[in-house]
Amino acid sequence: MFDGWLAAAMDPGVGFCILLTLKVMAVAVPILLLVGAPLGYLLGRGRGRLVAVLDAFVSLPLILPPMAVGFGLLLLFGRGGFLGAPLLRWFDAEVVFGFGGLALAAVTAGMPLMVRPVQAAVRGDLGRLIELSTMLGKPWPVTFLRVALPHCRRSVAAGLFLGAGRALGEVGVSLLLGGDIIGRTNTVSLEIYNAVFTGDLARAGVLALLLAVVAVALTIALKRLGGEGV
Amino acid sequence: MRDDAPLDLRAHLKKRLRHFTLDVEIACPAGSILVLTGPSGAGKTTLLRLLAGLDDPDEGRISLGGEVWLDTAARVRVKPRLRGVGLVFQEYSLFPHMTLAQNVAYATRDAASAARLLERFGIAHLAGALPSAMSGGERQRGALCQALARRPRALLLDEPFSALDAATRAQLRETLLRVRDDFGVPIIHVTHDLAEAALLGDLVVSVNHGVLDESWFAEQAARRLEEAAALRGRVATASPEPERPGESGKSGVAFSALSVTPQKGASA
Repeated sequence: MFDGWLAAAMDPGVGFCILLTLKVMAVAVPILLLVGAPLGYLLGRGRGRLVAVLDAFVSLPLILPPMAVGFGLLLLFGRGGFLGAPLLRWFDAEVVFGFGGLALAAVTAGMPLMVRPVQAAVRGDLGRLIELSTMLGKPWPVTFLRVALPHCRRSVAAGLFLGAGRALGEVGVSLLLGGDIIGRTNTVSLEIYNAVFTGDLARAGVLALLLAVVAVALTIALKRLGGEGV
Repeated sequence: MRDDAPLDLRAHLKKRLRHFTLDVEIACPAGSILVLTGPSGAGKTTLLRLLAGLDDPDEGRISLGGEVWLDTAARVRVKPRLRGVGLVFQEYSLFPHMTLAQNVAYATRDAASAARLLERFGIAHLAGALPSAMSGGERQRGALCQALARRPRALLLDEPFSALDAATRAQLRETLLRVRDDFGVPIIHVTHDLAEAALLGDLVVSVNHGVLDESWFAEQAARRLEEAAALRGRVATASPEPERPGESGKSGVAFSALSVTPQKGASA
């Protein structure tokens, strides 16, 4: 069994999907941070219908089955989609069934978990400090950078760990947006699915173990962040 | 302190709250302190937040001199950060990750005036200290400095002294009276402390269940006076009677009008 796992670990195909996943994460994690943290701030502080609608949209991937989310995004970003068609016509960029689709799937899946902790933090005690900054005449970007961010950096980091973890394990949305094309869009999670489907349990085991190690590392980091001293 | 003349703050605001409707009309002249008092949950802090623009009323109007900050009928609403209001809370009145100097400098680009304010309030020696290393009184003094550093056109104070001891409160009351005289802006001060209201207020307004209640302050003050008188009476009559012969060794102390038995563990 050990030889089979070792052989699977040395397989160039396994190396490819690990590298692809790292590339997807290298794009998705900065987007989660740069978009998710300000979005959490705005959703936590904002009022009105527009904010409520935006909040609902951000939460959708938590509530809807990933396949349904993926299908919706496929309709939106497909060749004839509302956003996909202009992207293809003006920028010659095709999002679905490529790296862009995988990155979009990772960001979509991770965003609610990135946003929620920040949203909760700015609604708590930090809310008073934000109001204080507002009354001192500061616009929201200044308040966000100089008051909110230094205070909710733990929540931002927690959201980032959770969001990255969710993005890393994403399957449903990635399957529909990336297409699971072997040698092109088969990330680690999709490759586990493929390996189990073809009966290559050693390959699935190696990749699942890898994800488990990353998940444990993220959990320990989260606990340390919360001062639980692991 | 200001180039432009200070202006009166006027407001008539209505807002439906959970248990009652807040419906209050107030006017605070420039250079005076309007004290808002009343029972807990009466709508005082809500009123202050409406004036600051942190909450919106269902209907109403707020103006400072001729400048309208809010007029729901005319769909006018000036953003809170553009109203030029200095706001001091009971807690969270300074940014805890900034030193006192950084806190005051955050409110103004004029570093020299920030330093002058600290000097003037007698806390320049704490410029490099974080709020966690300061006493409650020093923090609130710093909060006043911060609020004044941006040269506010009105000052709103939400129970800023309520968490402080009596001696510090007395000092800060003096400080606030100096601020009133030197800055000449309208100051609205929320407090539960009737003595503070009487000492600070050029005008004292009571809010009870969302509406102005002219009798509340007088009734509360009269009740406190009665309580004080009763207490004085007790103290006056609480001189121990001379021990009667043959009764030595009895526990407790007999008073002429009031018999008090010492509690377990307490010394008589």
